[in-house]
Amino acid sequence: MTVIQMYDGPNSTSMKLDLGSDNEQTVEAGVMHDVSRRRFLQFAGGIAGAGLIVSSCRKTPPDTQFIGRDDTALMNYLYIVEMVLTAFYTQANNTQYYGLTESELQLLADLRDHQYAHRELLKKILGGNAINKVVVDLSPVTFADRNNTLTNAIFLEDLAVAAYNGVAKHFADTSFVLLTAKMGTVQARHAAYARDILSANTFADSTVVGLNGLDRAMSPQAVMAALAPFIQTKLDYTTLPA
Amino acid sequence: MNFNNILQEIEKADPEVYEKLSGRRHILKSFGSKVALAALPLALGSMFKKAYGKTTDSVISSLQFALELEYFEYNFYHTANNTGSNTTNTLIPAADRAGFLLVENEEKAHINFLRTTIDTLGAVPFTPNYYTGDPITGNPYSPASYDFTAHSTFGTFSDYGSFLDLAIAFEDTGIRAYQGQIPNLLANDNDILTQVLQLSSVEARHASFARLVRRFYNTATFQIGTKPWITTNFPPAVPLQPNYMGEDNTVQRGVDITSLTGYTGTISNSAATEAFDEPMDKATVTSLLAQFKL
Repeated sequence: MTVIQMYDGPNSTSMKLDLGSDNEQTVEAGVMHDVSRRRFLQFAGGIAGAGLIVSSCRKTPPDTQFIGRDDTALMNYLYIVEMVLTAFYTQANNTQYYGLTESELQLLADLRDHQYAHRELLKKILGGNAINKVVVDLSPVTFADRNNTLTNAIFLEDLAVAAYNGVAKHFADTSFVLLTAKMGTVQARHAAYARDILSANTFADSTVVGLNGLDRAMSPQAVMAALAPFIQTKLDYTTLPA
Repeated sequence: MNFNNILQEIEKADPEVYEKLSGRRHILKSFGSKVALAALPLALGSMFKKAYGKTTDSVISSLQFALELEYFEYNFYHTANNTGSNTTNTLIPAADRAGFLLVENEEKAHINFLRTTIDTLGAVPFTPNYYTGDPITGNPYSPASYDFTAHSTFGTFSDYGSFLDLAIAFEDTGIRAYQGQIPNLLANDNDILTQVLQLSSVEARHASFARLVRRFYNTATFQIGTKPWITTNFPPAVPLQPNYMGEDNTVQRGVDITSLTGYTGTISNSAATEAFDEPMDKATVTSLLAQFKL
């Protein structure tokens, strides 16, 4: 079994793409299920990308991390969401999908850089209460494939919007509400963009906006459940609101 | 002080006031004569507090302001979507029509949602100047209320580029306006805060769409500086610069974002501004939209 670790920048999360044949992968709804093609594309995309480090059989089971209580738990929760998005876009930039246009190239770097800004701000605010970086599992994604990458981007961005909308009412320190709202609407800009370049005029369609014109708001527990396929680190987040 | 007159005035604003006051209309009606005048304010205070919960005037006025903005946006898109329809002079190209119809429909849904919410909270929903319909059930289209060309300053409904510039500015400003109201919603213990966030993220989706369309309009390739997000305080067109003042902020909660670790080095100034939308207060938003109102 070979574990390929992708290098995603000087100070960021390392990611594991397990290409072993015995690896059971969790595949999100709507994501391509053609396993052999996916693995080929992952491999081809990985080789094409810069900064590839191949190590063998390094598998240390990570300890369970407790995310804290109350506002600390909520901010760590958003930090986790942003860690997944940062890792996702870092990889998407490093191993770009085939058919990437000049316009998409420019904005793909923007998407990554915005997530860095969010992630690092949350980390800074959390200070000593910040959890260690989680190991992000990107094996559900075929980065060489445009459709698959964008479908996963949409899934994660729509989820982030719902996370930001749903978390606000739980903050004890209400100064976090405006701060996180300012980030949440930028996630909505991302979501709409990814939707529209995949399929025109779907930026706010009925899959995310209800008949009353409201976007989704999800509880932290529901978001963490949806995010589970992308997180390898064992986390104790029982303190999050259901 | 005539207690029954007060109740009648409230009833005009909120026909369900008696139901909200536990439906004890007769007790209420006899209240005025049986309760000592000095004790009345106290009795009334606790009664209304029970009926309307912790919903304060500031929550209602924030929602009224949001409704005003939604009327504005709906009328803008409704007019655009009906400019030259089915003729060769159609304002909006065929490829984008479904998108702007979706935006129009969602603005209308926002109007209906806010009308219902404000009505439930016991206030009369906002209506624009010269609006003649029912504040709760009437058709929100009100052409007598607006001049979206700002006295021919903009070719709003004759030039697609101008229309897109305004759509971008209105949506971006709408997001800022919603976020400017957040401090008024924090004390509220029901779902209004969440719902306002759910409304504002839809506005952000609309802004992203209009910006993406603008990025590819009237160019052989794409407009490198027009992105789905706001870079520093760049406006879509020079006259709209005031709508973007303060969007170049890079300091969040005392942290300079450009000092944080990015993919390479620290985060760039443009990314630091793009990654956060910025709130705008009601007075500023109102002054910016004034030129488009009649």
